[in-house]
Amino acid sequence: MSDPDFEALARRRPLPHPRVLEAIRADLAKASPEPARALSRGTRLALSVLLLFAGFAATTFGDWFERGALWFLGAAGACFSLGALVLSETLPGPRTRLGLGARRALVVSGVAVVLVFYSILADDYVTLAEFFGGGSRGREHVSHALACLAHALVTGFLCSTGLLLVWARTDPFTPTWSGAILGLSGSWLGSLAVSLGCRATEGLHLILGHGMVAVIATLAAALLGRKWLRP
Amino acid sequence: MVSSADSVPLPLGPAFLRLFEALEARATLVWSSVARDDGPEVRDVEPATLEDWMSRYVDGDLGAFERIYAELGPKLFGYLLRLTRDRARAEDLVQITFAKVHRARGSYFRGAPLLPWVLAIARRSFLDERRHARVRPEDLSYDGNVPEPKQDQPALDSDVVEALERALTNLPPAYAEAIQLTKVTGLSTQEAAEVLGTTKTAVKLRVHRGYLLLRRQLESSHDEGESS
Repeated sequence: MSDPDFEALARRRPLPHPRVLEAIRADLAKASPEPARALSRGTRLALSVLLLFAGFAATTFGDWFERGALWFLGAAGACFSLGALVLSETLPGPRTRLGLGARRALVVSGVAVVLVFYSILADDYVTLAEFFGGGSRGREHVSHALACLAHALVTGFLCSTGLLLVWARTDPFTPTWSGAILGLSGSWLGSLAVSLGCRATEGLHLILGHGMVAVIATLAAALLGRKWLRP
Repeated sequence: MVSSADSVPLPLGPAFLRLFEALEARATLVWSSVARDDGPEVRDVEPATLEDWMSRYVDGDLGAFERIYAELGPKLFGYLLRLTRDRARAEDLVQITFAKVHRARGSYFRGAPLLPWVLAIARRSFLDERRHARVRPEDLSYDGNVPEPKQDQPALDSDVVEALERALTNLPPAYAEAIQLTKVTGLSTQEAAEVLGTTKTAVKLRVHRGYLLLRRQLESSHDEGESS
C-alpha cells in the first residue's frame, strides 16, 4: 500500500456556489469603502507603553515625592522595559512570535514570580487566624489588605482594559492567551503602583493586597481577551 | 497711539491657514509612512503576493478583494467543507468569514501570512456556529434529539481520492483537521499550530497519529476491495 496521495486531494478544489461571491459583494457594497484605520504593530506597542506609563504616573502621583524621583524612575523603567519586551515577543504580528507553549509558560511563571517576589520581600508573617480573625487587629489587617488590593485592581484593570482596546481584534489565533499576557502586564503595573505607596512588610498583606492582583487581572483579561481580541 | 500700519490688516490669516494645511498634510504623510511597516504605498506596481493584495484591500481598494477571494475562496471552502461536512453550512461560513475579514482588515498586520489568519477566523466562526447550532431547535429532527442527516460531499472523480476522502472523514476530527491543514491546505506546522490554537508538538503528534490511522483504514479498504 503506497502513502496517501494528499496532493491529489489538494488539487481537487471544490468551489462555493457563485451566489456566495455575489452575497459577499453585496455585503461589501453596503460596507464602508474607506481605507481601514490600520495601526501597525509598532504603533500599537508604542501606545501600549504610553498607556502603561500614563496609568502608572496617574495612580502613583502622590507617592513620587515621598519615595524620590530616582526610585520612581528606576521602578517605572524596569517595569516598562520588561512589559515592552514581553508584549513585543508575545503579541501577534507579521513575524513568528514565541510559540504557544512558551507563552503559556510565560503567563504562569509571570503570575508565580509576583507571588514569590512578595513572599521573599516579607519581613514577618502573622497566622491566618490572626489575619482574618475578629478583633480590631484582624479587622485592621483585612481592611488594609482590601484597600491595597482595590488600589492595585483599579490600576491593573484600567491599564489592562486600555491594552485590550489597543490590541482589539488583532489575534484570531490565541486570543485568550494574548488577553492573559495583557492582563499580566497591567497587573504588574497595578502591583508596582500599590507597592510604591504602601510600606507594609507583613507577608500575607503583601501576597493578598499587592500580589493577588496578578491572578485576578490575568484571569479577567484572559476572559475579556477571548471576546475582544478576536476579529 | 495707533499708527497707520496698525490700521491696515495684514494678510496673516490666510497665510497661517495655508501653512497649517501644509504642515498637516506633511504630518499625515509622515505619520502614514511611520505607521505602516512597508513604507509609502506604490500603487502602479502589481502586487506580487497575496499579502500585498491584502495591503491594498486594507488601503480601501475593494477591487483587490476579487483577487483575494479567487486565491483563498477554494482553500477556505475546502477546509470548511471538511469541517462541516455540509455544503450549505460551508458556504454560509465562507460568507461569514469574509464579512469578518472585511470588518477586521484594519487589524491585519501588513506582511503577516494571510492564509493562516483567514483560516483561524474561519475556524473560530465554525466553532461559534457549531455551538449555536447545538441549541437551535431547527437543527434537530422531528423527535427533537437527533440532528438531521447531513451529506453533500463534493463529487468524487477517482477511486483513490474517494477512498482517501472517506478515510479522512472517518478520522477523529482533531487528527483530520491537522492533516487537512498541513497536507492538503499547505500550511507549515507552525502556521497550523497557530490556526488550531495549540503547540507545534501537538500538531506533529496529531498528524502522525492520524497518518497511521489513515494508512490502516486505506489498507483495510484496499484488502476488502481485493477480496471482493
